[in-house]
Amino acid sequence: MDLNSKLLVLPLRLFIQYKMKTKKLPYVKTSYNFVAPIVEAKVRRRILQNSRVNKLLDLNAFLADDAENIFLVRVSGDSMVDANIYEGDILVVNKSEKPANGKIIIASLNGELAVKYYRIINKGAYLVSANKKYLPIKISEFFQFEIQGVVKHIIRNL
Amino acid sequence: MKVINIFGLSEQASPQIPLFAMSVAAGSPVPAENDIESTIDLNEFLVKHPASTFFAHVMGDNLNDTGILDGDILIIDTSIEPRNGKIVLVKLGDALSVKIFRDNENGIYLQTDNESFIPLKISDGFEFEIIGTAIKVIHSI
Repeated sequence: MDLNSKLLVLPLRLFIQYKMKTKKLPYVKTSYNFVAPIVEAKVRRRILQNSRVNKLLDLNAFLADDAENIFLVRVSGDSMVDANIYEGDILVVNKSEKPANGKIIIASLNGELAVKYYRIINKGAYLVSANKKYLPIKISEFFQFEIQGVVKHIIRNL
Repeated sequence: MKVINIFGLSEQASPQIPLFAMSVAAGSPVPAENDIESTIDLNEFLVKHPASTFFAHVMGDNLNDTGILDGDILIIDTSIEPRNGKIVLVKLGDALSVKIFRDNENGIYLQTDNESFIPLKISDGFEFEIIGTAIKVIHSI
């Protein structure tokens, strides 16, 4: 992953944003005391003054630099858990990339979509799960089979 | 898990990416134009609070069990208070690292999920700062 080549150097804006990070109150309450998050704001400012924060990342450029060929799908099921793909994940898929042996692909098989490893073994094509519970599927002429795209990124809520 | 690099959020005018309503592997039909749930801007979709969000490029394998792998990018939101079990970005001395935040009856701990690591108890006199909570992880293939 050559991340650095996709980044712009533009440090100032971020610093300004974080500098004034306090919660706005609609009016001043005098009936009770509250502690303003001064310490936290200091922490943030110090981090952002750190020389390491000198780059910006644009998620669109990073995840979808080839936007016209990108689509997203949500995962259900557990057939790819050993490949770090879990129920609820969002996959960023490139439909123009040529599927190669060993890639994780989105395939349609008899009208159903699946996320699987694409494997070529002895000139035969297989869809292989990353979960011992599921057997590989050999693609034959009796299947309606189409590769929809190659999975490029996995996004998960923490 | 250590932080290699920190990136701020850049919000460029951006293309709209289709998100299909079907889930993969769920026996859904092949995507067609009318199956598109929405077209989305990835910045809007992944970042709820732009002013308090940045990215951390991380290295190390001691959080593998949480699905955070070597080389992943974490989306960090500094406006979200950490809760028990959440992944947090912490400043320990001069180093930034990624830990699991534990808040239970025994106190507050910073933990790696490899059990050979001793949880780090947060107590007086111990220098640390919790910078923010990781809300999403991006793993590139």
